[in-house]
Amino acid sequence: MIISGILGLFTIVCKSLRQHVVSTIITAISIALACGLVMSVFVINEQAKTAFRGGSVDFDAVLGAKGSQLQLVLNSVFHLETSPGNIPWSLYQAIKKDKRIKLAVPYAVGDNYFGYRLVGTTKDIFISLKLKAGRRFKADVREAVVGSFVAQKTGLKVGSRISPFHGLAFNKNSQHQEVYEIVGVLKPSNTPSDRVIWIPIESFYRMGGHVLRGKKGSKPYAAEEGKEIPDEYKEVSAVMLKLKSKIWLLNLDRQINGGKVATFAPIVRTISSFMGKMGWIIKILKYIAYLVILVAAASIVASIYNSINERKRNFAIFRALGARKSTVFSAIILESASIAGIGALFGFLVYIGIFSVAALLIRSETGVVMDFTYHLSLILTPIGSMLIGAIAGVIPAVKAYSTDVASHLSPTT
Amino acid sequence: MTLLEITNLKKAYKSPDGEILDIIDIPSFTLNKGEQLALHGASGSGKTTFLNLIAGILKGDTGTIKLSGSDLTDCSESRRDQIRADHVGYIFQTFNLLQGYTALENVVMGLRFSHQYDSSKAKKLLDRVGLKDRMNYKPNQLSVGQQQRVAVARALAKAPKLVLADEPTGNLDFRRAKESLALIREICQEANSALILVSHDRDILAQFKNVKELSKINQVAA
Repeated sequence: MIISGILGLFTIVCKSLRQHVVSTIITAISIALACGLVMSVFVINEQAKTAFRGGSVDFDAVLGAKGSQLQLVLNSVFHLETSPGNIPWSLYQAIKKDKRIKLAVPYAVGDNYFGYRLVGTTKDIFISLKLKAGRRFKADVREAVVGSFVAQKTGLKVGSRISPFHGLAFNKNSQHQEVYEIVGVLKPSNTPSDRVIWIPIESFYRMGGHVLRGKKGSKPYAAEEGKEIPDEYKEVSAVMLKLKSKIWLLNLDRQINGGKVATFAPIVRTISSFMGKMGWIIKILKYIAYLVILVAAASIVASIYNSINERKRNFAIFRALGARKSTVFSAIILESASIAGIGALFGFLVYIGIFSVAALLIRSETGVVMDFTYHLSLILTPIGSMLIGAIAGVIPAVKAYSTDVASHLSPTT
Repeated sequence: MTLLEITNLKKAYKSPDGEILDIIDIPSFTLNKGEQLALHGASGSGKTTFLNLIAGILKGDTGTIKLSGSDLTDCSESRRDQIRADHVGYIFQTFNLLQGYTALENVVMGLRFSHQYDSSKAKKLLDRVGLKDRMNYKPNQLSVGQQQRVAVARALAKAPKLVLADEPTGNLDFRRAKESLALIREICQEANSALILVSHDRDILAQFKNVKELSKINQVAA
């Protein structure tokens, strides 16, 4: 009996949805957009937090010129923003020798290849980056190893030759004369490193137009071919640091940032603090998404409520055939929840679309890779929207519930 | 054996200008199981209201309506709905078929609410009324006569104890009306269903042995 009743209810709902197919589709689309937006906001927010805080790099902190910690991290870890300045080679050597430091890798930035940054560094970088093809660069020649994303986008492969462009932003008129040979391609690391071309730091110093620290006589020092560059003239944009233990983070933070020489930026804390400050944007996005859901719920009310008058005769017939008032009420609630359910289902497509575009943009801008992973919102949003749909159905359901049977049947005699 | 027993049933309506209009006042009325009765009366004499009261669609102001032992005037609306679903088949003058539903679905819906869902029963009845090849047609794809036969099949598929027919042949020509009436009466007889048929058509009334004028039953119409 119960199954028959439920099937009867479903028959009524399916028929009604089919009879009002246009309004059903339009309403379901509005729910789909709302659900997709809500799921995207939650998932992208969570993924971005995870990716930017932890998954992006294999280092704990950055040492750089005195200035903003955030700028230093964005520049050296995410290869965004301009460099806050340079620090002397001696600082790099000092921190490398520090007993609390496990690994120190210098970065020198200032050139690009069609917008992709060149980073001058040492072979130590290959402790965290793995090769897919070719070999590591040699320290003192013009060789380069390209990140997987750069290789994919530019078509560079082992054996390719490139001439970098001066500056962090691409300018076709500022190409260097020096030619680098690609000797290796990195495995995808799903980090900003994938968007970088790695070159030996020595060759970076020797590139035409690169002015080094200090003067030789009255002229700025310029590297001479075949002659070693004295350490006093070398400088680096940043030093990437891996600590023997994270407990030294606070200690180093106080020690270095308390002075006037350099900035020490713990990566996770700096990014977390940045994300925290940007949290209001996510909050606004969430409120907008909730608002869109409410608007979509209102569209369900309007759509069903407007159709009630034309359907009153059908309700009266159902009642004359023995349907209870509660059956008619339940049918409207179920119909409303079904529209929301259909919308939520298509909401996954909207979510996939929004997420894919966002992930693509974030990857191309920052190198951070975001994957489709489980998030509670992917379950709660469809359930919540169906619940809201059901609640939205109450007003039209009450109208249907109160349909006077006798007056909507045959004319009286 | 009595199927329907009405005692001191009264029903009044409030007119749009606030006046209370008595429409039904029936001191006593009975109908036996399997009995077939034709009712006639002037327009506005309360024929449809009377049928709606028996079906439990309307509730009387006072009095009792006992259908198959259950007092409809003492039941909740939900219980009246269930009694109607289980025991009453209703054929309307305008058929009241569900638009958008096929002939088969219309009949099946009638069975669903009585918890007798069995599409083979519905198909059998549609076959019986000559609509075997029109089962998947929607009302607007059927002729008036065919629509009426769907309504008949819907009312009778569940083999109800009581069939109420409100001017069921009012929209048909004489030949079709006569055929349709014969069909209704035949199926009712086979299922031992009692029948109350309202009509103002003398030719239709002439088919019945048991004919009553509503004014003889309803004191308001007298």
